[in-house]
Amino acid sequence: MKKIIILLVSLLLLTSCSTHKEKLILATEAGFAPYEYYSSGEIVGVDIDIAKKIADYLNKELVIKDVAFDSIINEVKTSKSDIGAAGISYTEERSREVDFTVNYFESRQIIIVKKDSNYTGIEDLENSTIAVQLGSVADTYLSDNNSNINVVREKKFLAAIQDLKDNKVNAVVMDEIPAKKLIDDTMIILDKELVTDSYGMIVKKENTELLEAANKVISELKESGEIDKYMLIHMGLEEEKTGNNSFKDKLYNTIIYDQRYKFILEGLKNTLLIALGAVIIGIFLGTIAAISRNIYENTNKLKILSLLSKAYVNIIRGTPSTLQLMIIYYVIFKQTSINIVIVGILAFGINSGAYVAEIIRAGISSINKGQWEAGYSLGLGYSQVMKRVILPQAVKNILPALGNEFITLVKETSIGAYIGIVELTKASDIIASRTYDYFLPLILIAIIYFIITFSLTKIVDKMEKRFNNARN
Amino acid sequence: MLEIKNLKKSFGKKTVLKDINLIVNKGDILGIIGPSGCGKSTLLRCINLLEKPNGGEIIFENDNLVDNKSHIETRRRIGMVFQQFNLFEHMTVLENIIFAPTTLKIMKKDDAIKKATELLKEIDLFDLANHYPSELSGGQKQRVAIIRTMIMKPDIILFDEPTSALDPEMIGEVTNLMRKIAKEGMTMIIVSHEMNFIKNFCTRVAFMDNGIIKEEGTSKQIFENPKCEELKKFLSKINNY
Repeated sequence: MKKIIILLVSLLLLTSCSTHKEKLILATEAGFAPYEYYSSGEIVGVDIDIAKKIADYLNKELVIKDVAFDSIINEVKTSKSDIGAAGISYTEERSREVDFTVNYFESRQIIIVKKDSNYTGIEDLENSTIAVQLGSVADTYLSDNNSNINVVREKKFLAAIQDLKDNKVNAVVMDEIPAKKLIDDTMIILDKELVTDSYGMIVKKENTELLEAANKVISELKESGEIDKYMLIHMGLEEEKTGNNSFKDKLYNTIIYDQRYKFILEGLKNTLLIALGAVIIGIFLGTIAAISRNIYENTNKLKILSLLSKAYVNIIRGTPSTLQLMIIYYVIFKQTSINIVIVGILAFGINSGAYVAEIIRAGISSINKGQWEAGYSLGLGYSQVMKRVILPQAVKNILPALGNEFITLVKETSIGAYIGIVELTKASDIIASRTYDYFLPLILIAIIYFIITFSLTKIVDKMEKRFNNARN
Repeated sequence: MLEIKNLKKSFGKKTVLKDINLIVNKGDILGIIGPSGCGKSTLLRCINLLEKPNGGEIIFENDNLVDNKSHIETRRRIGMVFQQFNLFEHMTVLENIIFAPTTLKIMKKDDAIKKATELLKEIDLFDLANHYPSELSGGQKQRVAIIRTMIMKPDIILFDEPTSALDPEMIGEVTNLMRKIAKEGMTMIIVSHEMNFIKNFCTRVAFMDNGIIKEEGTSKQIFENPKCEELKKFLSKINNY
């Protein structure tokens, strides 16, 4: 047995050695074709091709991290990623935070309007509503130069286009190249561009070694015409919408085509994994918090732990969970490269612990004070009464509430997408970014969430009934 | 056996026990009467340390209970019977009775079951040994609660309005059991509104009013020859009712 273990370990070491290469971590937001998008379950695109060349040049292994666009600068600043590329345009503001490489592409910010509208340029759009991608060049430009335009900031280009489709906005301002892919035949791109800007990759300030390498690679690729070639390839690859727009085709495109169900499976796995892991951590922390407070209230012992528990519960319950998740990821695990799903489990577990603490506390205080007194009057101590009299009775109130907490957690995990966890909601987002249709992926994911929570609710109900029966 | 000196207890600004002085001797059956809110129950709860006194002394067999120690050993020798029975809802009748002696390792489980069986048979409740408290009538619950206290072989039992939560037809079964225990020589302190029961059953009676013991004496003295005005007023009210 021992020998086998040694053999396995040495084998493991060997394989890890042979593939051991330093990593170049790229932060991007896949959902911006042709620069970065998902194909066959992988992130590809012009930016990725360039980044691969840089990694090759440095003899490193490229690792791609899919995060929210507005988190990319932070990723690079905190050294969680080495380089950022997502069609990021050069701005003064951004260049104060990070260093830009030479630009690899010039993009024109254009205006998209409905065909049947009378708009001919930005002058006509005074006092109207325009959708942009949050944090994009269009966003900054409009906010700075056109104060009397109402800007709707969407997380995705696709959502901005959807707004125009639904007549929620009068126009969309975005990059020309993705725009050509995204518009349908009811829309038109106005001839006059709003502003031209150039895309560069970003690296952490003072990381001159990487900056110089990236500049060298990009310049060479530009000169040799490689980047234009990438652009054509990826725009060609883009032609995958089936001509027919029947529901069946849409469903096929959403699930089967390009093995997109893999995103859903991956999302489902992560959603359940995070919810389950978090509820276990939550029960652990919550029990400590609730019991230590109860011990202090009844015996005056564990004062410090009890005060800490109280502070923990109040702070967690008093701040948004999205914020907690981001603080844990960007502040606490700032310098460490840790599996993002584990970060999710920890963050949601810490969050859940505060609610579990209150569930347990409520369960304990639901037990009649007379039960404590009867125990004490028989000469039993606090811990005996707690363990043998109070908790066994409180459990029937606590367990169903814990079940509900788990159900809540399953839904809460959807904010994990903020830090790039591919859970169910992110999975639908990824698929939508490929099919240019939000409707089916969102409905599909909603159905999956519902099936999970509905079956869990049934289980909790059964549990509750069984407890009630056991008592009567 | 039990001596209470200058006992004080207040809840926030409200002083419930002002200055209680009381001596209970072995074998005494002391009834405590008085108008509602005069502090009778608080006094009992202080003796059992369910409430922490603010001052004074409670000396039980040479051990002063009014300090910061837990006095867990001493508390085992003071039994308590509650108005609301307080049986452990998640345990059967038998489990309720053997719980304390087995948990505290005073008795082996077999011996505890044997003793509990014996006690239950004496009060004709053995048939219900494996039933849960929610299946019992009030009178049955209170008798099980008394047995649960008895198995710990306490030196004294405190009864906090043991019949107040019972339907009238069940009061008899509980008071009969109390009489039986008294005959065996148990020391008891009883807070009750059942004046006839107190009058006929208790060897001594204390009248409490406004946080102090106003008058104390034999049952006959208190009920037939009251001295202080408050007691006279209290008794006349009860008789008119």
